Amino acid sequence: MADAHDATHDAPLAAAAWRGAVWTAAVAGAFSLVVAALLLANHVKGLALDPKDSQAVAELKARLSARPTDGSLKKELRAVDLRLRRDYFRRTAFASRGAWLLVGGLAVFLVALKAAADLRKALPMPQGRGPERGEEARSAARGRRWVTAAGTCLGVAAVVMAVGSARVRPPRPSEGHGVADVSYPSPEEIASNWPRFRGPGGLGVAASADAPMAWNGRTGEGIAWKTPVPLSAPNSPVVWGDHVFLSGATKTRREVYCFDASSGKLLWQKPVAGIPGSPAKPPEVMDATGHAASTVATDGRRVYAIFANGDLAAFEFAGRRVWARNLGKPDNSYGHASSLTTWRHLLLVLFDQADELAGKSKLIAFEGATGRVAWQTPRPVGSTWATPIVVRTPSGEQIATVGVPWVIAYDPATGRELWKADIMDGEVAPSPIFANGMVLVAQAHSIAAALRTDGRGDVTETAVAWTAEDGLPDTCSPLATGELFVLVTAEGLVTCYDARTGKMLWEHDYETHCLASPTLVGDRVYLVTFKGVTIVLAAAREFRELARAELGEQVAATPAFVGGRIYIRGTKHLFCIGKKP
Amino acid sequence: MKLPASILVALAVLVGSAGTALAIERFPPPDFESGHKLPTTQYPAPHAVAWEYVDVAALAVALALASALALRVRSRRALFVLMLASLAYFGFWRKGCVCPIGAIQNVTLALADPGYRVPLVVVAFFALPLGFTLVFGRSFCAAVCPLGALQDAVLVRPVRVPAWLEQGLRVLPYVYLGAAVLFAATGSAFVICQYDPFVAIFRLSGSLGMVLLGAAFLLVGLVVGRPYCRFLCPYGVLLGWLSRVSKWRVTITPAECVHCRLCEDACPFGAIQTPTEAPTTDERAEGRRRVGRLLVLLPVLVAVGGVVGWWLGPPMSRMHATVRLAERVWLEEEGKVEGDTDESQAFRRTGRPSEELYAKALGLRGRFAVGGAALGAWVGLVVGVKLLALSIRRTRADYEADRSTCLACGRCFAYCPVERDRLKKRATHG
Repeated sequence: MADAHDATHDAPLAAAAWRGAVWTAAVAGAFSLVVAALLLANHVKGLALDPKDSQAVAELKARLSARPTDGSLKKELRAVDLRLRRDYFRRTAFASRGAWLLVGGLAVFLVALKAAADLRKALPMPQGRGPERGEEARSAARGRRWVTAAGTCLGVAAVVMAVGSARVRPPRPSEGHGVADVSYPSPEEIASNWPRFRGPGGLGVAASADAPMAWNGRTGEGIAWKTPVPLSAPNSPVVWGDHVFLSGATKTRREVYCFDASSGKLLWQKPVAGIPGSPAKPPEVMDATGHAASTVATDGRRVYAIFANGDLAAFEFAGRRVWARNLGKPDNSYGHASSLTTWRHLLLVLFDQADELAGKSKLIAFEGATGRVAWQTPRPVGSTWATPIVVRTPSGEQIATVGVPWVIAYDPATGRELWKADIMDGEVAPSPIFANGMVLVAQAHSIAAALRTDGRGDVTETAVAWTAEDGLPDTCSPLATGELFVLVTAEGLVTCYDARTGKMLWEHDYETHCLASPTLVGDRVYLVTFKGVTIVLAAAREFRELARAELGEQVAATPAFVGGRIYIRGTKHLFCIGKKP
Repeated sequence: MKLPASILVALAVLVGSAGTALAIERFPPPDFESGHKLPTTQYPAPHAVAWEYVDVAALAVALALASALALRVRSRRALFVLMLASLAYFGFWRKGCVCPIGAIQNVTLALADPGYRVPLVVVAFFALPLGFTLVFGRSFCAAVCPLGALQDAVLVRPVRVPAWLEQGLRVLPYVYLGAAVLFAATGSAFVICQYDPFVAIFRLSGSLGMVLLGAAFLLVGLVVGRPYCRFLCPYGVLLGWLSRVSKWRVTITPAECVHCRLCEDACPFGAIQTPTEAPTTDERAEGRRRVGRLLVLLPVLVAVGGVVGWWLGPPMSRMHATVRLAERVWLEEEGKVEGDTDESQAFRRTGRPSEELYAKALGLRGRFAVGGAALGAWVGLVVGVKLLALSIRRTRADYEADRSTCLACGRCFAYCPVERDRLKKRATHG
């Protein structure tokens, strides 16, 4: 009787407690929901304001790198940076406090929910007569089936994983990469040909002192042959034996050409297409740069070509494509223009892109025979349009490169950085040269400088032998004899320095557009203007013009000087200047 | 009380959101050009060695208390309080590390790699719960493990997982244990720690994926008792083995079972076994034939598992950083991928030849092929033995806690009228 009375008395209390627990759970749940929504909003907003990925800071840094002395830009950058960091820490603090509130809210929610569940918990009331006979056997049978199913699933999953995983298998040492051709031309072979942009070594110095001084493209006087080039481009002719190589491209077509050096006949014309990874949409390039600004290179075994979309291909002299690959669309505002060069059996590709903060630039060495990467080295510079050279120094061979802000030399065998000097600014297009044991560089809005090559590490303070600031070129690469250092600007100003001291000797302003780099032939300097006029100067300590000759066609490419002949690429034709066969 | 689906969804959103908020973000220091000198980075002092002894002592005391509360005092409430204390100390205060579950990997690596010295505190954390289990049953799971405690604390409305599904899922901890041992022995990864679902909650910090994984387990844990402990915990495999042969263990009733059946649904972990009847002659004969067939099948399962595991070795070897790097460098060199990664850049800066890296990677692949075969054979063995275990009939006269899977939580005590009678008598007689 007393128990019944207690039960009657307790029922309203239990109901009230249950209602209280449910309400508490509801309030705590709602509170937690609000906190969670705020935290979520805070997090999503934070993703867009991450200081380390800030577009605003990146843009300001890029602007500052172009104008490093701009005080107002620095102030602006600091203010933006400070604001972003304040925002970051405010969000972090908010998230931390919010998380504790959320944990607290959830704890109350759970406790109340458990309390409500306990208050309405049904007492155990076993039904039936307990486990039936055979129930355990049936349960065990079902268990066996499911254990078998679990084992089967695991097995199938393992097989699917094994079969489906990409077959990426680095070669076993015994497999190697097949018998690759690692032969390369001798220095004598290289010197008797024109294997790359600006000839042997990329120095703009012809091996032969013999070259014509008079011709007329309009009348055909002195022209051995003249052949139309299918696709126009500003890259220069490369000559090896009886072969003259060029490349050309439009937005949609990329081609490599081989001409007969004797007759000018187009021997073959090969498309560069169907390369895996080649971008469907061509890159945006400046009209003057075009899609094939880079000069091809040859090692006497194959000819290599690179295009503005990152396509790189190797062809045998007979025209068969040996290998091809895409290096990724270059992030280059004017269009990729660095030319190729070879060293021993390696093909060297300077692939500078974006700005120095982007970390996209690199120097890559491919095995010429296979296209396999022998090494690649990241470069702390932004886009450049210059071409590297390989120089022989007393301490060994070095690859000399120019970028902003670093002039860097690398070990050609490994790609290891040897030395670097922080001296360049602006947009680097003129390529480096080498004379008197020094690397010579020049760039408009920056400086011309001679750098010693025996240092290691950061040699900014120790390697600069001399600097100069007049007549700095923005497109044409410089030229050096042992004694002279010649600069040509795009406006036709020719400036001559003493190559050992940096003292200016003379200057002469032709006031004409020049894109081709000057070339030394014997004691003469050949300079080709955009109008197609070749001006021959004396390589001397005083200015002296020796001759002029007209091609009758515009010229943006640097000519090749081989075997007493000059190969000039006009905007439409390839000309061979010399005696007719 | 039936839980509305909306509450479960709300919980998922809440816990998931907390994860996004707690994720740590890092960024480089500003590029000052004004001459401002960045202050020296302050690093927190390493934990005092004394704390390690305190941790080991706390573990030993907690294990002793849990054993006493489960076996002697037989109090679910006291166990629950101890469980919350363990959750607070080992979980939230000590941030879930070091823990016996992850210590499996340290011990494995120490055995496989003589160059790795495992800290004594880790050995103690690995061995102490095993030692206690061998004597007292799974008192560690009852009230000391912070992972179990967290799941136990959120269990609101337990539902019974069908026995057949439970049997199937209970294969997974063995696979996880085998994989963890393989990856630890090869120096590839500590996967148990890497995929610890609750460590991000204990630390109130971690990647979004970690927190979401923990939230998913807790969400399931609202209605399924301790899903991680039962269907994934690799340390539970070891504890289960030792618990089978432990000297003492938890019993549902303190005296003789009266077959009232009140405890049938008391265990949210499916660890209560019902009485069985003796098999008939036909059933016994059929059982013998099945066991015979399975004994023949067992080596086949081990062999098939070994072959499949050997085949899976190369893909699994990608868990090792050296293999991943070698593959990446090779792909870059062959022109099969664009660009490079921080890792491949760093490798090239070392100036080491790629062939050296490839040789290392191939050596590791060989180890993984052997290890994979061992793992596959292990899984085949587990499946075979499970099938055998399910084919051997055992007779039980009473309701009993399963020796291997009982977590000694004490929930069943209160359901037993004999236990209630004991408590009443004790209260009456003091």
